[in-house]
Amino acid sequence: MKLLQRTNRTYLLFSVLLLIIAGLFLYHLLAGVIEDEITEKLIVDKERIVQKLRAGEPVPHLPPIIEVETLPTHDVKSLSVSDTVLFDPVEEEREPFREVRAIEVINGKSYQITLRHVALESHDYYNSIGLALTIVLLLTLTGLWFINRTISKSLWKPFHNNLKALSNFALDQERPIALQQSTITEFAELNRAIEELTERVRSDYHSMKEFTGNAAHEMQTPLAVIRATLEEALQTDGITREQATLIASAYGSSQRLAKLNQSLLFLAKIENRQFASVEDISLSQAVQHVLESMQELVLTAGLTLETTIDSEFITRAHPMLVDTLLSNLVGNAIKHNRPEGLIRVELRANLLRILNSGHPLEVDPMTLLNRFSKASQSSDSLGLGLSIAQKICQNYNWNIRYTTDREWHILTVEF
Amino acid sequence: MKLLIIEDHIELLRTVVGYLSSEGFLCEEAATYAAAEEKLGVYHYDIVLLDLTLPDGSGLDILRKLKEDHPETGILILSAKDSLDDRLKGLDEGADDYITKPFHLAELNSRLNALIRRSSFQGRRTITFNEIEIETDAKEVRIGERLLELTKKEYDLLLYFVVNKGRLLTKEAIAEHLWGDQIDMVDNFDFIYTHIKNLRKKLTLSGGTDYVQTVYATGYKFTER
Repeated sequence: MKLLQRTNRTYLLFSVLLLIIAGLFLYHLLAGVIEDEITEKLIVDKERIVQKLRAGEPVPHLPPIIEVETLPTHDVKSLSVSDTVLFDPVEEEREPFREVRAIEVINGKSYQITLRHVALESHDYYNSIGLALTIVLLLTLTGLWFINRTISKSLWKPFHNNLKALSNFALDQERPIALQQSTITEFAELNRAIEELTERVRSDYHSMKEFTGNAAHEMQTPLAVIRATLEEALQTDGITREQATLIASAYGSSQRLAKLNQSLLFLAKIENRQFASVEDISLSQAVQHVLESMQELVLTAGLTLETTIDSEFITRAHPMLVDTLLSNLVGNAIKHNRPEGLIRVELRANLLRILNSGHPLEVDPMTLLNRFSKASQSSDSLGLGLSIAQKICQNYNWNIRYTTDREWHILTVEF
Repeated sequence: MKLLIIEDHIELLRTVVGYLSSEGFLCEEAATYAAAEEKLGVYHYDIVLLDLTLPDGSGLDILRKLKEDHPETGILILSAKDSLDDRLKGLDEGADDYITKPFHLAELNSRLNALIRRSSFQGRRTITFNEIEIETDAKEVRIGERLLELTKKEYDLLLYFVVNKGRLLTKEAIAEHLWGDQIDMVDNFDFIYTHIKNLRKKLTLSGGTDYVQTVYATGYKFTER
């Protein structure tokens, strides 16, 4: 529900309640005033009749409005005011009347003077008041609707524009977010808060990216020194076999460290969304390209490759990430195969399945997608290939699954 | 062949200079942007090895200036920044090649030699090692008059050996030279052995000498016995 609708609804409920209370109050006020006026008029009329009687002039007899009777007994002077309902022969229906009944002693005779006046019927009040108030209510509603429409068009415009700007905000955009300024205090405060927040986020993101770059520089240069030094040490004349073995072992480890560093930086880059640009990529072409470039490794490893490619699916992604994903999956199938094993690559529509023969797993295959997780601790593998693949899939909301079926290992990616 | 090596990490600078000097290059060094600018203003170099991240300036600026003043100078970028964007930017600005840290020294030597072969002013397109003759344009190898039928990998391997002759080449360096990043996909280097075995066989069958020497646990050396 929109904010305007919610406030309108509250205003409306409140107005209706207020008008009902006003109506009741008005009714009682009016009814009281009119009743008093009628009573006053009747009493004045009675006085006029009394004066006429005193002067011995004839008085009109107009039942049920004016009734004057001579009483046989001598009664005491009295005055009573009451409401009554009588049949009115003129209107031919029962009507409410205000009645003043007085007993007067004039010139030694007792008279009962009864004067009546048609009282206003209550539903008449209700109708008139109700009509008046309904008109007021309708006018209020029309006014509210009109004012709100104008407000929502002009006053809320900056808000809606800024909302759009905010949802289009990207961490890696080069300029600060551009918000439409507003003279409304709340909106101005909101703008300030958003600008501060996005600026902070942008600068954090920027320093994180810088950190990635710096870490790469700071770690890879010492690694380059280590590697170059060890290579030079191996060139030294007259080193013994034992020394060569020791240096070679340190050299191999520096190599692994370099790979590890490279992989971790790559993961960080994906997480930092540094591969933001996308283009149309034909899956079948990408798979074929990767398989061609890795064909030699498959052959050298003594494996057999079977491919079924039947897809015209086009996905939107960064080409380097797609290439890395596919290479890592095929690489995994090569690396963890058994001698003279089989690799089967199937691409149908948006579903890629890579099957390889191997050894039955003792762990849950899905855990192998985690960082540094591998089937056997003795393996030389870093345990990062599949987690990079998983990170790439997460980046594009692709679904990756690792399942096993006896000696078959199956990696499925749903693009 | 005169080289200028611009690199802010002194240890790496010394190692690279030491190694390239032993390979017969005349090397000068610069550890800062200012020093590099000064040297480039005064001297002329055949090839400049350039680290893009320097403490007091951007390597890209040096690159631009160099391309303006001495367009014939070959430029090889060495950088820890291995992002595609940086690589493309460097090559766009006129760098001839790009090598990412950490690199193998033999790989650096290989790239330098390729760069020298490509530069027209050198005109040294044939590499000879005793009876072996390599035509780098046609990618053909001859022993005497006989043309060797080599696969692409065997050709790359032989060229790598000849350019880095007399040096111990580790299995890791050879693998990375031949397969690049894909080498991460396999656990062992057995398949290098297959390629080396085939290359040796082809060399000897064509009447050449087998110069490849296996060095225990570490790698191979291409050398006269």
